[in-house]
Amino acid sequence: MGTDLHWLSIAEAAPLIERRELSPVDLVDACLERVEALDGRLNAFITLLADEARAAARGAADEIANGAYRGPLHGIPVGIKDIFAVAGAPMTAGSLIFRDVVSEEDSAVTGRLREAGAVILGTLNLHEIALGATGVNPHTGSARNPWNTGRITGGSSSGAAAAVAAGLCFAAMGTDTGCSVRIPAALCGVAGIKPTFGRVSRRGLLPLSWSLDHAGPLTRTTEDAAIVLQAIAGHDAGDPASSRIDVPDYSAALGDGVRGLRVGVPDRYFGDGLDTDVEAAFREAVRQIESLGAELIEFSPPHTDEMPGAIAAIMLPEAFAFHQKAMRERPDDIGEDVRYRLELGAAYPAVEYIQALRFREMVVEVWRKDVFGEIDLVATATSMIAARPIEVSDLSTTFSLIHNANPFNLLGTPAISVPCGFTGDGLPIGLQLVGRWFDEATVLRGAQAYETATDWHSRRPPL
Amino acid sequence: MNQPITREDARSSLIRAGLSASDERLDLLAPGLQIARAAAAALAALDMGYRGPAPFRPPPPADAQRTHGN
Repeated sequence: MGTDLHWLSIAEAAPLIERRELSPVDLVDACLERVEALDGRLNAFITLLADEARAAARGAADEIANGAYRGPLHGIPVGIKDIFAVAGAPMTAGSLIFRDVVSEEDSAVTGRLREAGAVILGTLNLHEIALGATGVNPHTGSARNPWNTGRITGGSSSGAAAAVAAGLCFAAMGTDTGCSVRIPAALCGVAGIKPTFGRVSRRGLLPLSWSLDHAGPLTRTTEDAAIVLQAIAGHDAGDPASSRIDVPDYSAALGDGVRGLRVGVPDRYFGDGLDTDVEAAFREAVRQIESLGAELIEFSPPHTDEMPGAIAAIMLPEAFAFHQKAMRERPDDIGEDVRYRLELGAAYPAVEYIQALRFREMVVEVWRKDVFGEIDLVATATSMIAARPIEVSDLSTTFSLIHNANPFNLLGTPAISVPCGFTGDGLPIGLQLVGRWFDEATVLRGAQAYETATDWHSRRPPL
Repeated sequence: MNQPITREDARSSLIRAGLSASDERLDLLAPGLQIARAAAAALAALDMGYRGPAPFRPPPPADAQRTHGN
């Protein structure tokens, strides 16, 4: 095999592994060599499980040699955000509070990845307790953007995006409570999908906000996102929000294109205030989608002005409820920005939390009828800005990062970010496509059609 | 709802949650609370009808628990 094994997609590597033309052992070694060479600069991993990964790769190779090939994730190296339990490994959540926690059993997602044959390479850096969008972390150090190591990755799944973008692993699991899969995916130039609320189990995941937490994969292609989502989606009695709705074959609709799809392009809330390069790339992406046969429909998205306040009124009190003991007993062990957000959460009156939950019920119904009654996909820029310098990333940066992404956490709709261009100084820009509840297949289909017509996803960072 | 949130308002809010903070921290917190209150007031002003939060879902009856193992 060539020396660039780490840049294969899962879809490219899987048939080679199945035919025993590529060994999972070689694939894992390629990733571990890449981690050794680059992670000192990127700071993507918190705990590297090199010995365990090599053992798992040997086990996968033996199984495949014995005719027990499990499917396209068999022998594929993946990373896990350090907020999912991985049996026997620390789960720090990027925090001093959880520094000494070692998981006794796998999270649902970790377990399903293992059942599919994936090899767990290690746990990945994140914004402390996943409560932030920059990835700047005073305890673990910030993960660094492979396209410019002086820039943020975005967060909170910061290490996941950096690791996938830099070829340290083939896929990574992230979580998304307000943007935290899609924003780092956009800023690092990879694909990241937040599935429908309830589609992927959160059992064994350190909660941030029970009402808004989603788990989803980051990959280098949409096709790979479909492969990973297939493995992790489905009902789990261990997560009260887990859905019993059947999981379709996500790869089946890939290749069907966007001809005939009605793609909504919202005005005002999602369009105003974009950085110049981001707006140009987004407009060009929309033109491209139209040229592929989609019908563009401009529309005014309902109730967007109230959404950020409602999300904050749900997320912050729920986050504080979980971390209340730590805030009382060890506030100085919590980073400044996270402590500030938790203090805000502590100060919300119960009635404001309840009004936000009532609003959510209402706005979901309005979007179901008035938007998704007419439109198959909504297209927006994922983030208003590209990656900012690490040292100047503050609350205003956070606002610009989360603005276009977090309405879809409140709505609970599936949403993907895929690369759609670069700024003048070489930083990736993301296109967000949002679909109806439990219609991840159309989201993936639209993203893959766009990806097939462009080459943004195949560009590699200058490491 | 539009009254300015003061340092003492912020202090009271934190005390109710079992927290304390320096005056400097409270001064940082107050503007954030002001924004939160304005957003909450906007929600409260909406006509949301009789709609409530998602309903409580009781666990299945004991027979079903035995059948399904959960």
